[in-house]
Amino acid sequence: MIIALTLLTVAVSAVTIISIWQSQRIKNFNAEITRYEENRYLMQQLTMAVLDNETGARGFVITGQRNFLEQMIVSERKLDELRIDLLKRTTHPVLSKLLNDSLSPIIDLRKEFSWQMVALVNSNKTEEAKKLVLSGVGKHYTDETRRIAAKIDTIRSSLLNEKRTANEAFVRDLNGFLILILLIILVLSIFNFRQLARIYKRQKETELQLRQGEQLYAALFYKSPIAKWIVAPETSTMLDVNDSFCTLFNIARENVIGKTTAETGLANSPGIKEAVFQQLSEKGCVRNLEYKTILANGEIKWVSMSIDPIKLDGKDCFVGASADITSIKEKEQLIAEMNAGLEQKVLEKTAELRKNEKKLQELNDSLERMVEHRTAQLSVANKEMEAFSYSVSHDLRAPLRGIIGFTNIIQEDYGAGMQEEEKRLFAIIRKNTEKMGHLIDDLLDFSRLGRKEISKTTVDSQALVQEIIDEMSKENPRTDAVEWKTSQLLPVQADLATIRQVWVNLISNAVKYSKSNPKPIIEIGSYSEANQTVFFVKDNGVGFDEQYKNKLFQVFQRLHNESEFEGTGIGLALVQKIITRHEGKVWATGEINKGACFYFSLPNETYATKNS
Amino acid sequence: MLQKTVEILLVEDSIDDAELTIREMKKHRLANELFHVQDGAEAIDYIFCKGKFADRTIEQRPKLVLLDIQMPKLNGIEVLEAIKSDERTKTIPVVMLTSSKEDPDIKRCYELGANSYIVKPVNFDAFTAAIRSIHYYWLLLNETPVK
Repeated sequence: MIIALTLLTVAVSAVTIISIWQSQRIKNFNAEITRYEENRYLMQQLTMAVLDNETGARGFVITGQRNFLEQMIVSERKLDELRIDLLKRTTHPVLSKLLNDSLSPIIDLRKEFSWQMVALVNSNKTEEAKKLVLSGVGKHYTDETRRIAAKIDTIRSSLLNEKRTANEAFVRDLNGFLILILLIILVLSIFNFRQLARIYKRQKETELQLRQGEQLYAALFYKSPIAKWIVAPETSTMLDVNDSFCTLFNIARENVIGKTTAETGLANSPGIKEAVFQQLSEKGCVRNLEYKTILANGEIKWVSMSIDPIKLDGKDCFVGASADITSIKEKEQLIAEMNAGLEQKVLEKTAELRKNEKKLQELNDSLERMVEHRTAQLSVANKEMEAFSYSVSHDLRAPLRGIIGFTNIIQEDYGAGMQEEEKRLFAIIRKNTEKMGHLIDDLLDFSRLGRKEISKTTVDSQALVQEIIDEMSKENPRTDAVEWKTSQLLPVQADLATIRQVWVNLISNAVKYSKSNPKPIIEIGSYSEANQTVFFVKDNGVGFDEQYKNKLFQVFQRLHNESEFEGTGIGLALVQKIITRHEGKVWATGEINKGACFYFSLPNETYATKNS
Repeated sequence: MLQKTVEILLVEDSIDDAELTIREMKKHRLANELFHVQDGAEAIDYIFCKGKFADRTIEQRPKLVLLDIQMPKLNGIEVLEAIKSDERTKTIPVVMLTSSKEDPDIKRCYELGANSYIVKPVNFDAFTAAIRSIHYYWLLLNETPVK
């Protein structure tokens, strides 16, 4: 729009300048024409003066009258004046040259010729002068002058014509240019007009929106459920309030508008004004300022107030919004009362809890003391047990050594004189004593195992079992008859010394209880099962009655007569104790006279993690 | 008898065990110059020539000591400690006698410098075999075995 207006101004200025220029040019040309006319006139005067000169000179010669001479002198003066004037007014070089080089000398010759004739007359040689007139020389000069003058005029006229043609062409071009500019002006004017129309339309729309906005804000103000009010701070006059305001404060509209806040009696809460001023000076507005007010009818209201500065007709005003929070406050108070009650209850419960905690602590302390006491007792019992074991080991065996040793002495020293029956009885004493020794040893082994540390290493079961079988074969000739069936045994994490004892006990049991079979077969194997490795020793011996199998692993419990199978009843109990200490399990299957199979399992998590 | 160079000193509180031991040693001709004392205190007196053995000289060292662990007054370990901590006597070989091979004192005895131990078994044949192994020490100490 601004660009278009600027362009329009520039175009109009251009038109003006061009018009001025054109008129100036026309004026100049007109002046040129005038000068041309003047020059032509001067030229005619000059020609006339030459004629006068000739006429004067000739008249004087022929008549001898003085007045012709005067005419000649006058024309001569006039000739000089005209010649100078023309030279002054002529600027064109061709014309100047013609004037100077052609016309001026001819004029001078003319003048000289005239004076020549005058001189002849004056010396009374009138006849000679007349001859000179008749010679035609003078006329020749006059004609020559007229011819040059005519030539100058022709040149002047053609120069003027050239200028005129150029001028006309220029004016035509300029007119075309002017039309172009005028067209541009027309386009720009149309554009500007359209723009103006658009601006006008927009203004109308804005006005409409403004009016609608005003209506909307008026509705927002007057129809708001929140009490709203506008106050002029200079006079503290209430300018406007809405219906909610009147309802909230139970006051008629006419009793508020135009009245000061003091007159309405609504700013009666102590400290409220100070609080408002403080917030206004700090933040420039008031936010959710809660206060209690007592209405004219004595009703108590809780109000939450916010105030913002606005401009109304250029004046600073405040618009306020007051919400009725009486019910919220009442609920809050109720909650506070309930909280207080709750807190009291919590305090009571906490106290109770503390009491219980203390009681628990006391109980714990007493329990701890009891545990300490029991531990001490247990430790004493353990020590006693050790002392007992030691005592059993040493003191019970000493008398046995005496019995057996001195019985031997009797047999050695007096055996020769003894009867067979006496020898047999001594042998019984000896056998029983030895058995008691074994019992003591086994019992000690069994009780000692409870205290012994289990230190696990990777045990090569295959090598261990083979070594035990080889050893057993050397000591016990009965094993010669045995057919061994051992499959590849899995390695396992176990305490080597005790696990060796397990294998020895199980294998020796298998050998012992299969001696009645003429073709004893002992099968030893292993398999993996749910994070554990299971080993088994199977024989085809006497087996056992499954209904007594719960007694198999108990100390001193035997399922066979001693006269049939020697033993103290400790072996399997020991096996169970060792495997239990390894966190494994033992079990057995069997049938009378069809053999037995003893299993034990060992956990292999540690094995698995160590080898992964 | 006291002036005589004792080859083997038997320290044993049980008279029965001592009698059986001496009999077995005699059977194997090991007890010709054997002296028996009945407790640790007496053993110390004998070795260090004190009390009723004051007329002995310390140079008359026994070639071997058979020392029971479990004894009244001074026990075998205390006697062993005394022998092994004295420069004059610490080279005497000491074989401990014990009733059980699982005796926790055995480890202690080895730490104190005991040379070996023998379990006194109930089965006397085995004990005889054990006594016989003392022969090894005997050969070690004497180039000419005792007749």
